[in-house]
Amino acid sequence: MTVMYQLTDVSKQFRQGSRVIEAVSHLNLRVEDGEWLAVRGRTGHGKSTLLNLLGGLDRPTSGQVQLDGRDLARLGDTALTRVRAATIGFVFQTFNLIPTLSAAENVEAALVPLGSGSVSVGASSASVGSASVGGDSVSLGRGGAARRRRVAAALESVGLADRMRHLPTQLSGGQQQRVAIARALVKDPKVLLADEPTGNLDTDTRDEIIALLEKLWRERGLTLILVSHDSSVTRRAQRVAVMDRGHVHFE
Amino acid sequence: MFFLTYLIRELRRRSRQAIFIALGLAVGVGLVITVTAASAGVRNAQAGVLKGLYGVGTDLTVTAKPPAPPSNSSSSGNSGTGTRISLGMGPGGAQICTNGQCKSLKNGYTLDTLAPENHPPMSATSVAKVRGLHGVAAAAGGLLLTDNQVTISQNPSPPTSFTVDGTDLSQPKLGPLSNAALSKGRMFTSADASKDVAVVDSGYATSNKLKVGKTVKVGGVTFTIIGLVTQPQGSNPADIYIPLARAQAVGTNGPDGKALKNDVNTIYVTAASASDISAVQAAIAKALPSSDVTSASSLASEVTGSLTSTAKLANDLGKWLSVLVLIAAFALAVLLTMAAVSRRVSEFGTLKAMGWRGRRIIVQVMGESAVVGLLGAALGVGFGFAGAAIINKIAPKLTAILTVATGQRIATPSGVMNPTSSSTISVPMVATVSATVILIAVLLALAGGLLAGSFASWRISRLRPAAAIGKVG
Repeated sequence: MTVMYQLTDVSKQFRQGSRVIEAVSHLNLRVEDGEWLAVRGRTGHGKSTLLNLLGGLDRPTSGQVQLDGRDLARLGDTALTRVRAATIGFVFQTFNLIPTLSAAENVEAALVPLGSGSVSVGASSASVGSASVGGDSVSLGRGGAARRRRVAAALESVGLADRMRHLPTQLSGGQQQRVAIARALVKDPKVLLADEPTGNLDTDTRDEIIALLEKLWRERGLTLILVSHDSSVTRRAQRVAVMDRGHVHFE
Repeated sequence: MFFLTYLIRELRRRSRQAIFIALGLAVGVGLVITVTAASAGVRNAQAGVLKGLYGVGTDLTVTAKPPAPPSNSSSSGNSGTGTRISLGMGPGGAQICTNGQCKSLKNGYTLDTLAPENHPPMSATSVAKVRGLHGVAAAAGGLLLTDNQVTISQNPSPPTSFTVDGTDLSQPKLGPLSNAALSKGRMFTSADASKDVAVVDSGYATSNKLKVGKTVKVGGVTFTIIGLVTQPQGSNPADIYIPLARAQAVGTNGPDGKALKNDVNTIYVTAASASDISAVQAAIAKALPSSDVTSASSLASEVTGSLTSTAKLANDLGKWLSVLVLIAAFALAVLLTMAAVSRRVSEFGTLKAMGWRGRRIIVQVMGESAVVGLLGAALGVGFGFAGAAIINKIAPKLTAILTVATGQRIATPSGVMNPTSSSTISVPMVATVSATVILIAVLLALAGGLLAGSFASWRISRLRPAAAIGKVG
């Protein structure tokens, strides 16, 4: 197995007035490529901060966050944006769909940053219309027709082929989260980061979504890191990390 | 394509707010167009007045300064140019004294004198002198005279008078007649230079029942009317135009009835370019020290009346009102756009998480703002045209009062008086919206929209995706 994430002595501090809060403290973590890691813990103990660091949405105060051998903390904003565009898919608790766009357009929004230009995680650019992560190239599709085919395939993979033109307000919570999952996966990312993906759903829908994520993880060989405070969700993962006052330990 | 879809959907979602911002910009822009149109209307009216007074193509006029009054002149004396006429009883019965020379009159006798009224004569060589100055494209002399006629009868009637313009036929593009439109008959040709022919102002012709082919007495000489002309509204036309050479021959000047041969009393000058006007004005003043040189701008400063006050209102109050409303509209657009962006922080954070570059999001927001700006421009142009139409509908005719020195200086016990004559000209104001103004208005509205978008963009550029998405646990 190759290593997807390697976190070394990572700390993240926030300043609230004169107080300094250490959300993540001297954290060391290794996540294998294709692994499903669940992170649980109580509210305010650093789960989401860890996820933001893994997703390149935030930078650590100290330490290294290596993704596929590259330290995200040392990447410039543009390079970090490219990494997010090509390598990482996000699923949020509140779905975060754009309310004015249809399901298909929301999914298509994830392909916009890839456009027709070259996208690569490394310093050198990969071929046009593809993204490369650690040498593996994935087809992104160019032009409107190719894009639409990819979007349709992504929505079909989450069981929403018949809801493509629906606006988020016309979909149930579970359907909205499926759209969000399709949006995260349409660009064939290596990593899927899910922050409380079932937090706003009822029990039945929660189980459906977790089952879907598990299926996609298996089919696509994703590295899945899922944050949840729900033990019935986290116990489905291969490994469970518990965040406690910024420190991590494994069950 | 995605850019447009997203833009249209977003504007549709915020349609009320977008329309509100666009309306704000439209009011500002509409006011700018209206005020600019009104200013242009006033400027055109002013130009019309000056053009009428000056003639087309005339940049400067030169007139001789009136002579200083003698220190021992009597209080009733008229020591300047012009003709002094008095009727009275002499040793031989009724007599008329013209410039001090009296003669007995028979019943029905008409005394007809043609003399300069406002401006004293100067030598025609001055015209050549002016023409030779650097920066002068053309110069023409003119002789502005007043014809006074008195008829002796048992029941004496007041003297009648009309104005006569001796026109240089070799320079048809200069002087007051250059501005006239022929309504009947024909204009002068160079062959008319020494003929007793006249062109009559159509207004004067109507009130005196004059027609082409009829005759009119000028300075006691019979002139045949060859044409009727109409001067533009706002002008102050002479009643009768005759060839300059004939005006010089028929007219007289001074108490001794001195002939005006080789004299002119106005020189019309065209500068080689607009930038030369002030230099030419200075050069003429130096070359002809005893003359007054008037430019269009100095003449404009002598125009008073509602035309001037409206111009001042449009230029000062209107300009500042437009600026204030524009600032308010821009501020409104900025505040509402910022508020809209604040509500979309999570959306932009999500886009950043998906790998959208800040620049791409800014383009999206700027695009939305630009469309709102263009909508504001379209509405503003409509408002501007409506404003101009309302002004044209309700604006009263403007009046221009031009006060001109008569050229006379009268010594009185309290000092020397310089009598003036005023003419009031009624001018319609037509507010016109030009293509340039529309372009400026569109750019202004677009700038307002983009300004609002740029403030929002500044906010977006400072957005940390983790904070924008909202959850830091």
